[in-house]
Amino acid sequence: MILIREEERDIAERKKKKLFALYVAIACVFVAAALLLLFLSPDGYKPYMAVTIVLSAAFGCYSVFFFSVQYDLAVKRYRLLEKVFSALPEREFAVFLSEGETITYEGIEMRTLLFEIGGTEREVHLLQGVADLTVGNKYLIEIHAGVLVEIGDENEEKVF
Amino acid sequence: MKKKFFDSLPSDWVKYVVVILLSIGLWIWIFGLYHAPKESEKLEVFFAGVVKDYAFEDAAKGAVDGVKTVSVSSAYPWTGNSFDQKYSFVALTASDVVIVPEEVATQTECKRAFAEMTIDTGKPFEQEGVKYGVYLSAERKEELSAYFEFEYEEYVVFAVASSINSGQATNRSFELIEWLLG
Repeated sequence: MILIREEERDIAERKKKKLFALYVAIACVFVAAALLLLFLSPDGYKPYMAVTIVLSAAFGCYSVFFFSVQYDLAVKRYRLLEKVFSALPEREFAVFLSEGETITYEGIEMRTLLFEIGGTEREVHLLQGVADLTVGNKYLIEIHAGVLVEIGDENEEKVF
Repeated sequence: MKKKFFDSLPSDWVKYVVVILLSIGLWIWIFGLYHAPKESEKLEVFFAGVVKDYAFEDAAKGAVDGVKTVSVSSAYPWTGNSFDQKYSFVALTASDVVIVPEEVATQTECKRAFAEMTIDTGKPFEQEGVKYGVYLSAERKEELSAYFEFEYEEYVVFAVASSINSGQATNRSFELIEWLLG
């Protein structure tokens, strides 16, 4: 069962670029509207100024949200996927022991799975998808940079 | 995303407040700057005497088209150097229209200070055969006494030559004088 595909990194990159392009477009519309209101405002300019302030505050708040939440998460997800697929893959037989706490790595939430690999316990992170694992069973797993990418067959004999 | 937004609020709320305050401050400043009256939209009136009511500024503003502000400055005549200095530096250089008693007018070298008067109404004030000012009529003085303390018999109105409103860019000084003459 493939949990993360390499194409998802390209999708994340496209999403990141699309988000930024959308932000630039919104910024251009805001600047145009604000300048239009300024240049068209008559001597009694207070209503025009009030509308510009409301627009400006809304755009400012959106900018804060965009750069500290929306775009930030898109960039972090892309970086994580880039890191995952540029790391050397490890294919190991591992016995599933338990599921640990959900951790947040640079803003990205990941579940923690505990495996026994080669006689030692090791934490592996699950970025997305549902890992239908049974405690005590042995699986062939593929790990990239500590992140579970693929779960293979349950039976060791069948794999080799 | 909604959850992420609410999760970020405890650490990011200051940024939202700063952005809102900056938006308010910045646009108030920009609109103020953009709508600030230009030199030709401001009229400065100098009165040699006591100003009783500055409501004159609003009344005069409404009387001349295209003027955004009218302000009055004053100095009491015959108070020695202080009047002479204010008369020289404020009235004859920074003002657009000057209202002074006849005695002050006669002591002023009008050729250097005032524009030639183009208004035909009223009794003219001449120097060296050139018409520089117009006397305020008794009737008009009575009306304007709501704003100014007229202590002398005769007052003369001039347009300051260095003002851009005295024929250089606009004729608003003369328009105001026409309104002053009634």
